[in-house]
Amino acid sequence: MRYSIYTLCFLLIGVFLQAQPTAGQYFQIEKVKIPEDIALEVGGIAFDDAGNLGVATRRGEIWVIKNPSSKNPTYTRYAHGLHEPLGLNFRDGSFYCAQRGELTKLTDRNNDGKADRYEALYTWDLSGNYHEYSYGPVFTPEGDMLVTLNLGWIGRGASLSEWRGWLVKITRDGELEPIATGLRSPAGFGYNKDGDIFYTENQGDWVGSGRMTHLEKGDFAGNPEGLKWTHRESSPLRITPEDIDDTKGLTLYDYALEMDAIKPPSVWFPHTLMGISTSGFVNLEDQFGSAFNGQMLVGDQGHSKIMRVAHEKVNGVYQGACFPFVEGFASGILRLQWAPDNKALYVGMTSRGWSSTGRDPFGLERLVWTGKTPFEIKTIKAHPEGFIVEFTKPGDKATLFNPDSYQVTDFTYKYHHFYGSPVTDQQDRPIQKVTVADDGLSVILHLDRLRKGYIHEVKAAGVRAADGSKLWHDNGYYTLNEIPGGGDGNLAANGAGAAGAAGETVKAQSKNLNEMPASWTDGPDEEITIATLPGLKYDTDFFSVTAGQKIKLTLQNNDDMLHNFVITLPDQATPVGEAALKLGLNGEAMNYVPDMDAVLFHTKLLQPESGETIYFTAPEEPGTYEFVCTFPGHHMTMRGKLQVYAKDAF
Amino acid sequence: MRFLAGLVTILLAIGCQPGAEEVTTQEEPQPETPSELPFQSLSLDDMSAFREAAGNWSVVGSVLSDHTQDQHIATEAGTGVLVNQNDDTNRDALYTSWEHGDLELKLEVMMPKGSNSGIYFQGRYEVQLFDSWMKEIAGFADIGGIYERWDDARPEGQQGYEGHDPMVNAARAPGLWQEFHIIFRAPRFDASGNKTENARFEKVLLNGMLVQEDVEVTGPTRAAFYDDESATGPLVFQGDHGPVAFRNMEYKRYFDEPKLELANINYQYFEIDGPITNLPDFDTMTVVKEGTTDSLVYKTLSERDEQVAYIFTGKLQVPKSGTYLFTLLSDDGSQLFINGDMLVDNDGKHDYEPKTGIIELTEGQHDLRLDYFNNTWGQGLTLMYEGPEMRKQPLVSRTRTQNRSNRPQIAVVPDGAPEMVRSFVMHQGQKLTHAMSVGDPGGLHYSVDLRQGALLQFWRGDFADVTEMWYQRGQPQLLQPMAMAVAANAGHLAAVLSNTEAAYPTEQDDAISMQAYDINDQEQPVFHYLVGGTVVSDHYAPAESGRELIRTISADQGKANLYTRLAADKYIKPVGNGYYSVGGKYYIRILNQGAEPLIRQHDGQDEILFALTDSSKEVKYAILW
Repeated sequence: MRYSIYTLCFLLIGVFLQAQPTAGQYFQIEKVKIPEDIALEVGGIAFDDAGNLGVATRRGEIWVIKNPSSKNPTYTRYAHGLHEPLGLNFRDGSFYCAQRGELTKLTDRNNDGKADRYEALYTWDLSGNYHEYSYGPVFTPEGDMLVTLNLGWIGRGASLSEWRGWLVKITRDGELEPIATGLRSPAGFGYNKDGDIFYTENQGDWVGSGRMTHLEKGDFAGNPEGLKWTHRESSPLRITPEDIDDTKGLTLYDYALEMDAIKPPSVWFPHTLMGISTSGFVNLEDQFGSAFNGQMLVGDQGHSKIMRVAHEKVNGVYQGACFPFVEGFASGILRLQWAPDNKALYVGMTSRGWSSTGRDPFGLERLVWTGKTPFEIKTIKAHPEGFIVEFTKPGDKATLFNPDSYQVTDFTYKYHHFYGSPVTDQQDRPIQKVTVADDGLSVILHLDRLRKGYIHEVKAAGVRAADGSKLWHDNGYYTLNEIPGGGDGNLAANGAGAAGAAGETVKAQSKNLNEMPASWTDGPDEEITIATLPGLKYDTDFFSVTAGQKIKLTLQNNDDMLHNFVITLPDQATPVGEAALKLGLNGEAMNYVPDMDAVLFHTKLLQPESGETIYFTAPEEPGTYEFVCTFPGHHMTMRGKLQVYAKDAF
Repeated sequence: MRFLAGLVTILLAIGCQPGAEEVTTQEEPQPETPSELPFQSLSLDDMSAFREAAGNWSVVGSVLSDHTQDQHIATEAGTGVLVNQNDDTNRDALYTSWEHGDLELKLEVMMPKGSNSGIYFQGRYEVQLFDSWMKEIAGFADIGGIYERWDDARPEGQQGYEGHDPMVNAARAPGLWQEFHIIFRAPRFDASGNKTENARFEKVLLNGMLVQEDVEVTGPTRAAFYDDESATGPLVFQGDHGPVAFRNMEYKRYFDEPKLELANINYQYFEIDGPITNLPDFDTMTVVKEGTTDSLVYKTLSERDEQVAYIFTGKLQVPKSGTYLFTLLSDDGSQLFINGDMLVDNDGKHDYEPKTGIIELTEGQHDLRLDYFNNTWGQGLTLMYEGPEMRKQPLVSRTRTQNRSNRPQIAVVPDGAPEMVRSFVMHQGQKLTHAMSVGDPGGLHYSVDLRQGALLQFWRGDFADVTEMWYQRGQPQLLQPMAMAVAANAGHLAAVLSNTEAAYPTEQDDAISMQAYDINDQEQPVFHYLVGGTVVSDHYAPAESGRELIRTISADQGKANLYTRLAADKYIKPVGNGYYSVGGKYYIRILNQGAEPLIRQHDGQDEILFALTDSSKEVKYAILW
């Protein structure tokens, strides 16, 4: 009998770990074999003209992989000794990569498979800060090269050397031309199908959440550090860091109405709901079927997943929606690249000190379409009275017509020097009316009101396909910059007209006590300090207290990311961590602490370089409790044990 | 396998802030307080520091040695260098006029080719000196070895015993100055003269490499100058096995007694509401608790350890007049007052950090006051001192707990072909951001600054530790040579000088830029720089012998006033066979037939330059160390 019980446990775990049980019907993730002695910490990937896959790594190597789709691809070390290249491109027989301090062209002149000329096309200054990453290049149609330059990190993002925080162009003649700034961590950038430049950004200081921004010459995308260099003659804009005042309490969108240079994003990726660290992207033609033609796929490093973006241009301005797509990759996704035959999407990954949901330290995988298109929200488009939601297949009319099939919630993010932003000014948007297209492929959701600059969560959980099947993913997030026809979004004619119901207020969390209880007249029995370390770790994985002791616990967040500290019942760190992932829009407001009995005590979500002290009475029941960071994506590594000893144990 | 990973246990300080290092690079450099008292210099103005000896020992101004000739040494008159030039009759050992127990000794030694000598601590325990350059495996009879003991009564072949080989062969080429740092602990005896503890070499560092650690010596080594053992004895230099020279000799003698004592310790304990970043104004505060204590272990004196402050006072009993150095470590801030004057200011909110102060104290009693506060999070307070013949030790202490953590060591190993690594590199206190290091399977490695074409350093042995680049986020992003590197300071690869007196450029500027490097058939990089419209190429390769690094600098076209500076140092002197000694740190030898370098003095140092003219567009020279 014992045998069968164990089997059952295994089965449950198996199902549980498979995040997207249906994904395999549509897309399959295949591993590209990596020889054991190669640390393929991917920084850039590019195919050469012969169809070999070039991979630049964090360790400064470029590997050229022959037959990457075969069972036994062969690896040749094309180049080595580069300083952390985080981009790779190929053109006219040469590879190009951005090293930390140099844009480099690599050529194999004697055709032995190894580069024998390393050419410095441009060398830029570095301060010596580890966080000054350089990405690219992307070629312009003219053959010039675009490079993005990450800010340094000194407890905050900082532009410590010239043009840090910028998109710059290096011309074929070796001149640097600054294009746009306001960039913080611009790991992914390139052209969309129409030849416009976009870049992806990670949540951070001045950046409320991950996002994607259309960049044109002279644009300022939001982080003021790069403005430090606008006094240089070649700068295409002149505003200075001092011109940006976050005490005004404006959102980035509202600030843009006051200041021309500011460019709000075309798409926000709500933090933790759509990943946590947006990275490289590719344009979709019909590689994955015609349904998604013209859209983009965007990687996420921390959540090891790929998201889908559908842009449109309204009143000349880019905006659009992002959707969940495929998750479950082996490591943190940094780069995406279509195979030359368009039959697979190559996914280059690295985890390093930013632990990703995919546990492998690095990896290379291929995403392959099975040929079957899922029943999915194809796109969301703005409409003068609300949103048009299009589906990949005809929906069941009854469910399409039913307003209860849908839910729309809008919210925004703060624009301030703090790290990230909570979901702000969240409101439910009542559906006034649903108009259904005859072919069942789209609906118009008529709303009471449209708020420009807001992100709109559109859910269609009740919609069924004609055959009764559910949507593969039932939600998307539309960033509304412009309303077609130029309206102001006041849609009183649609009915209620009044503002939607106020967002759910988050209830007080009594498990987070920051004042010492008055009853503790003799103070705490024990004072404990725990700090976070870079690399998703606490500085200890074990501490102990005695049952019933009065504890004062301080968490000091020394990392450059957000963290919390949650004490759970024995063996409950995993369920609590997983529940935190599902908190949705309320997650950040709830400090990613789910309302569960398994949660005993917790801190709030702490900014980098900040601390919080909580007071609690240790459980009366001796045992091995757990503590964990429930910030999405952290709970598998960032945890430890709290031993509660019986009072008379010593 | 190019990357080797092994597990190395290191100490990770709690509260190490991410990015802290980068913050410091942005701030004005602060004058560092000295971490220890200065060593006592062993005067080489004359022979007065030594007992009478035969004429083989003398004080001279400088010595040079042709490393290609056996036991060659040439001297110039002057002071500052101690030299032994023995013959068959004059071959005395040299004894210091003083005796020592525990001894910390630093010196530089020059071993001519094939020469042999030794340093006998207490005249009894020998650290061997030998020309061991390029020896594959170093034994106890090589430089840095602890020589064996000898007992004639033992069976044939086993008379020699307990020799201690150096952990690595850190020898430089003969005729170059090599650095020793030796910490010796004398044997201990009880009141009736029985030995209670053997003599010990706590540490021997040769050229920055640890070659002996915690080696116990059970009795005098072979050919010691005394048969017995004793609490003290003179330092003795062997003079009968060939020429040897010493310079920059300095030492500290330590004795267990007397010590400083802190008596009548009183404390006052304060609590602060809210965060603080500096010591509070105690005058405006109420004492929560006060009393006497026998230590500064503040934790036992209070209910809590965050947002707290203390004043400790006591009487410092000074047994001996002299110079004292106090080291105050605290997390967060602290200040030390002696006789009412602030000696050490370690105030502010910070990690467990040391600050020091030096004071002359007279024998007798002095007032000591120590203020301390802890805001939140890590805490700790330790007061240490060092005095005349008193080693650095805690006066009273609480040592902070530290977190032990494992991290892998990641090394780059050139296996069959050279390996290049671009990285940040520390050079003379500066973090260079565009450096490349090249490791050769033969064991000769170098780093260059790609912005200047400057040779930064070269070393022999294992290649590079890149843990700080590739482990986790790689925050310092520094490559560390795996052996003590010789630092070079030659500046720009080439420069157009307005005249032969003009200063040679050593700072990064637009006058030079790296254009490209090619990889040759040996898989070595050949660098190309643009200097004043001329392409100047630079290439390094190990010589066939494996002993020298051959550097070739060539211009695509000669140009008037285009020079390359091969070396700059305190002195550059010819030592024979075409070699120049660069400050006694390394040799260079110009390999061009008949080409004459320009040797000049500039700004207090010697420089060796080479004109890259139409008739002589290339210079090739060997670097040997």
